[in-house]
Amino acid sequence: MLRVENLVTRFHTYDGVVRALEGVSFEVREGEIFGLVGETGCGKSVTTYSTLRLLPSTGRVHSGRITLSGESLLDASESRMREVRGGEIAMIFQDPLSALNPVMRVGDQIAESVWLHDDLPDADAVAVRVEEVLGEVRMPDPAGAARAFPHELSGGMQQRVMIAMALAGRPKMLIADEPTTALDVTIQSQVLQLLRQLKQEAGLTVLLITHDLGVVAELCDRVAVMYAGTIVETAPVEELFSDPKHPYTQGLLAALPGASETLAPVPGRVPDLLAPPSGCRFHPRCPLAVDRCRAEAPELRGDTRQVACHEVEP
Amino acid sequence: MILRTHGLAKHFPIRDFLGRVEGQVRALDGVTLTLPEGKTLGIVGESGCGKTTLARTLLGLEAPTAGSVELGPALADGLARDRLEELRLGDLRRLRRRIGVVFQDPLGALNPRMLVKDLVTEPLVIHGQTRGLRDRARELLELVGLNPDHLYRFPHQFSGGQRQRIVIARALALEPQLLVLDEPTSALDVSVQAQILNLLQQLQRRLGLSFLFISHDLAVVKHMCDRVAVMYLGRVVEEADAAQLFANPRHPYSQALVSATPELDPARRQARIVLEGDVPSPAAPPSGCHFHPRCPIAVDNCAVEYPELREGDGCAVACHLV
Repeated sequence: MLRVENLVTRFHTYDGVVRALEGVSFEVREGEIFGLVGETGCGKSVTTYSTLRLLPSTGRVHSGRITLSGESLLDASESRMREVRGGEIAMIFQDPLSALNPVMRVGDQIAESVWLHDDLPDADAVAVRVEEVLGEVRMPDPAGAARAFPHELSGGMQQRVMIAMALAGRPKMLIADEPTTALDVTIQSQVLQLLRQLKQEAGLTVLLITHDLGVVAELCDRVAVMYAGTIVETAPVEELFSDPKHPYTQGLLAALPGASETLAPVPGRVPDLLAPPSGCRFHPRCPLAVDRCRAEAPELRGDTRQVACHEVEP
Repeated sequence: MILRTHGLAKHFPIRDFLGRVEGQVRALDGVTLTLPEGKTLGIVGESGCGKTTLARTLLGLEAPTAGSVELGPALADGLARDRLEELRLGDLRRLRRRIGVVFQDPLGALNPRMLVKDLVTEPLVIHGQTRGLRDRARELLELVGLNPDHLYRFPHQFSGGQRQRIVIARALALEPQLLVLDEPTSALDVSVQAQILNLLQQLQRRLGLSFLFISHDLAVVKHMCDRVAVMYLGRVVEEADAAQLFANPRHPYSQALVSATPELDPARRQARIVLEGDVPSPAAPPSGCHFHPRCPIAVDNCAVEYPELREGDGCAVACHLV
């Protein structure tokens, strides 16, 4: 459904050129939940902003292709992009309270999305549709919720409203950027269950952006692991956890509490993308690094399992 | 025992616009806990359950509304009283030398205009030391695994994990007996989190520290703690050894919390208990057992009578039915 090929995005700042994405490729298939996982600053969000062409003015996509059901999004007109955003790809963010207008009733905010993307005859029909989408996200008392202001709802309910707003345009795909990071665990598990139900019942395709490997394990069908603006590994979710191939993925899993008695931190630190390391961007921290890794950036190789490493076979 | 609380309560008044008291936020509502010496006690619970208020009360930053904090011999040594709430100002200052604290956000805890040397030795200066500050600063940086040559740098020149090391170094400056760690790794990425958790464990072994470890991340608590107390709306609902709590949680809320934690290994994944609804407001907690509106096994009595924390079998549970 969504295919990203060799995406290169850079930011031109006063300090120099930030090489945020360097050849990112992945594909999200219809009806699946695809996870994009990585640590702070690895380029997860830049990938989605590039996809929806929402980069700030300093950012530019230098090369690569992004296609949605065969249509190139990088070549689409701005008016076509306005239809795509919300109409075909909807997005929800980490902090629902800052994404909602505090002085507007929740129902009216969802109605904006309905007016924009749906061809309904009058306000009554819109109101019916608003209650319908609030029902879809399992809001208890949809009619009451529509009349509430955002501050009257709890964090979990606010995130449901965000999802309802995203679904109101009947998108083909939902991009969820850290949807549960601001929520408590018991509320997180409610929202994760909702996303699972929407996938099963409505066949929703989801691109999930997260730093939380636990959430990935719970929800995703396939996962791509990002490091410093590159994708280092793509795998079906069970295989990623049972048999991680890339040294970075292995390091990340070993650093998780619960894996073993003593935690094994990944040595070193994330590189500065103003001056990224030559060759493979992980080589200064990699236990397997050889001379070739310093000289030449590895391609993402493989079929169902892809790994970008000279020393590891997919 | 380094410290023990008895029925500790902290209520914050809610005032209307004329300043009249309208109600009370029951942030802590009768917390009884024991911190074992040289061990780590974990406090888990969701936002608003009173974890941070508990930490602030133990640090003497909030005066408890009711209940008391009994200080163990290591903390009470040389003080006139062994109850925190009865201490005079001078004794309170002496006590604060023995309790260090690390908060969640290292950038917010470090003055951006102060040099690392001044940051880590500030507690010494406050407590009247004027000599040997630079040598002590070098020692402290080495202790937490930072390069001692970085004394004359500012906080913004360090990464998130290094900043948290600076905060830990400062907390250790006065050689405390007890370290209160309030979400020390929540703002950090997993690979950095692993470094900080390892550092804390090394420090505990080397210096014989006791930890009060507050976190909402159960995987981290399971890794770090010897004993764990689960809090819900200002009350402890269960206290047990960490291994026991995670293998066999007794209280229905602990069960839901443990089962809601994402599990990496599909083979170990169990049936999930998804709780209905949200955490109620501590300004208007439900009657009886605070957990009863969300509890899957609640009976009529739960709405009426508050279940006391009952001990037995090395753990304590507050539930009528368990």
